[in-house]
Amino acid sequence: MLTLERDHHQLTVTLGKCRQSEQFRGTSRSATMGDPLDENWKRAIISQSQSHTSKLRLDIPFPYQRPRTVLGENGVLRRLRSRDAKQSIGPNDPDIQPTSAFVGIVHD
Amino acid sequence: MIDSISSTETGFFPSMTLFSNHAPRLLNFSFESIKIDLHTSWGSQIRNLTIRNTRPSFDPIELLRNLSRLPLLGSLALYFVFIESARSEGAAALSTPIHLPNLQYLQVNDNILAIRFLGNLMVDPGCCLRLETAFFIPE
Repeated sequence: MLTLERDHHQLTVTLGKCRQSEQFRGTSRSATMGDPLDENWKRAIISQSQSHTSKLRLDIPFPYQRPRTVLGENGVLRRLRSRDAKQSIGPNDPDIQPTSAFVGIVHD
Repeated sequence: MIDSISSTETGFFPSMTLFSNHAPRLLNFSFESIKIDLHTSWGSQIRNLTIRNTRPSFDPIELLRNLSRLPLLGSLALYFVFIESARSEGAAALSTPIHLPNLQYLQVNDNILAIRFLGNLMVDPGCCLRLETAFFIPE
């Protein structure tokens, strides 16, 4: 699982192994951009804080259609940039082509 | 300070920002708690759609107009998307029903306004309908 969060000053990618999105909070861990992705991860969640009490969440199940391109040759996440996150919820990369997605507000 | 993603004046989330308005392989889409306008480059290819607990609620006619942009829709599930619109004036009625020719499964769990939704929807023979309405009649 991958979670991308940002505020004005920081872009955070959180990675964790989860089979169900509900398990996310309990099993995730933090990482930084460039950390290798585990090929067993089944989902990506890109979160954007919306208020103190809620988050906007986007779930994109893995694998993508072209995972090697997305992950890079060394399995390193390369394509999610902070500039993209500001412009878009979700990957601003034509190679990232989700087949399923969820968008919603999650109340903490 | 945290950036916020604001809704438009109509209550719709700015859906053009999703996937940079580019998700050519997206077939299954769900959204919850927010109201998304499906008039996007990727909306027309959606096969399976689930909507839950939208705030603000959809007016039935408003949602039908959104769904008319999804001609390939095969499965639709709605959970409490009209619940508050019973108190509003609502959108104008449709002159002709919305036709979803590929719809095979429709589930609606909502208030009695779901009837207004279903009354303006045309599906082909063989579509499965599961309807559960709450005991709530708008004034």
